[in-house]
Amino acid sequence: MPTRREFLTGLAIASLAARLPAANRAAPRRAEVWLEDHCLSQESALGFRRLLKRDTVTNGSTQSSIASSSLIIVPGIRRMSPARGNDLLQRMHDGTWVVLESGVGFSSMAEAKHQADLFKRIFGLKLLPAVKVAQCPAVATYVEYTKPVCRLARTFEAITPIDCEPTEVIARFGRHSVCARKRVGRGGLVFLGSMLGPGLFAEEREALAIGAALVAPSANPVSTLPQLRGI
Amino acid sequence: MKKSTGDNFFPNAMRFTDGLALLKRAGYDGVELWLGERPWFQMQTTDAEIRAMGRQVRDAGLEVSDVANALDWKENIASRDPEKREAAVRHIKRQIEAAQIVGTDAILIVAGVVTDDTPYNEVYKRTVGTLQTLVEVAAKAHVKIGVENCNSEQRFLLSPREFATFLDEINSPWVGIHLDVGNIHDTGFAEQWIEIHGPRITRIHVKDVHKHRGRCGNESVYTNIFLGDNNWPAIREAMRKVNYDGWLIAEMEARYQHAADQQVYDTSSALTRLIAGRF
Repeated sequence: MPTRREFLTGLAIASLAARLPAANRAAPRRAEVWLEDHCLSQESALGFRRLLKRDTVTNGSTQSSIASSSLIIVPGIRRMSPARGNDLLQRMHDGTWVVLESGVGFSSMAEAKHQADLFKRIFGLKLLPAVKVAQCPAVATYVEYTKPVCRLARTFEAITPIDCEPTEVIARFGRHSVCARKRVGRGGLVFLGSMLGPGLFAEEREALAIGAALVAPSANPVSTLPQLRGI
Repeated sequence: MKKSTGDNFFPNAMRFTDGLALLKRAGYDGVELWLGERPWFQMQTTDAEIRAMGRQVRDAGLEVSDVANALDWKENIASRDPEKREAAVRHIKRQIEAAQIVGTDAILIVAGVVTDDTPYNEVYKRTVGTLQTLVEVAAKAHVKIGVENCNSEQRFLLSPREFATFLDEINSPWVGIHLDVGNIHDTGFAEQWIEIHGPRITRIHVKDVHKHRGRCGNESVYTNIFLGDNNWPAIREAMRKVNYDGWLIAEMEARYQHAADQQVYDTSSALTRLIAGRF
């Protein structure tokens, strides 16, 4: 049974989608998954690849050579280089939506600080120190997504909270903001401070619902559809 | 969510209508009727008598949450003895009929009992095959068959993923899991069973379990809600995660040496706390 918010959001999207040209609605978006060279990223990538296949979204190569992809997923980030970060930023400005899934919680303190500095400098994202889920009081068992769908997803041992505008937050873990979405140029950025890919790989029902909504064109529209912003 | 408990939880010698009145006073919303347990509901109970029971439930201000049976342990759909198998099919069909008569949409069965001389593979095949034949009856009646997880007593379908595969093989929306969060013992975590089965859960049985105590003679592993080892906050969160908003049915062993009705009240209070998520 959908919640009232999901029902109303569904209605809003449906009515807006009905006004769009047919080609925009039907065309699958071109998506790529950019791996890092460690098991955290690779396991998560398997989950995202499965999701993209399930949703009949084109699944691109591990190394991007195509500038026209409308969605890039970077799973389990621990070692992003400045060059790759700047490449992603440029693509966002050009109209691509990028999903950055943090694996920083599993890095050493020095590595985590380096990544936090890079995220701040390039993407304007302020990462907070990682939180080990097992050390939290048992008040929160799941990450609670509120956009683009309301669902609870399993946490993944270590989360990366962020400091961002309340309007940008799409998921929380207890009192921590852990996932956010914001516009960058003609595209945008989705930051996942709790890993979703392993849940997708395990075919967790709620993770699949969240993942499908996150990669759907209506969730992260290109700038020709500004009226969808904020839904 | 709504609160229920079985008519087999009525204190001994209490009449059906008095038991219903007790449940109402204790704050329950419904009652689970057990075929083959108490004298008022047996295989020979007529449609008219079942209809009268349904009326008595409504008159008491309650609903029937579901229809369970106490017969599967002796007459199981996976039995080697064809007569017992046929008897099992008969009482399950009777449960479906009774559910229709009293106006509920779910029954509970124990499907498949593995023993030293009825091996696992046989039980699995027979259980899937028989349930596939019962699907049509359930669909026609619009009554869901909830297969209970009696993990250690059945020695069958011991992991949540195997249970999911089993339901996949039956492949019908009319067969789901009647999940008992007290039955998982040391073989897993009830909250993970809830997560995995989500929309396939027809009803939830509630009791607590001492996970690290073996069964020995009359010593039971089961106990009152919040007294055992279940992680109740995690169980409650998992219900929220999968949007479970149905019946919580306390399935208690009557343990009070005195004032047996007090356990009915205490269980109701515990269910209220569980639903509210106040721990």
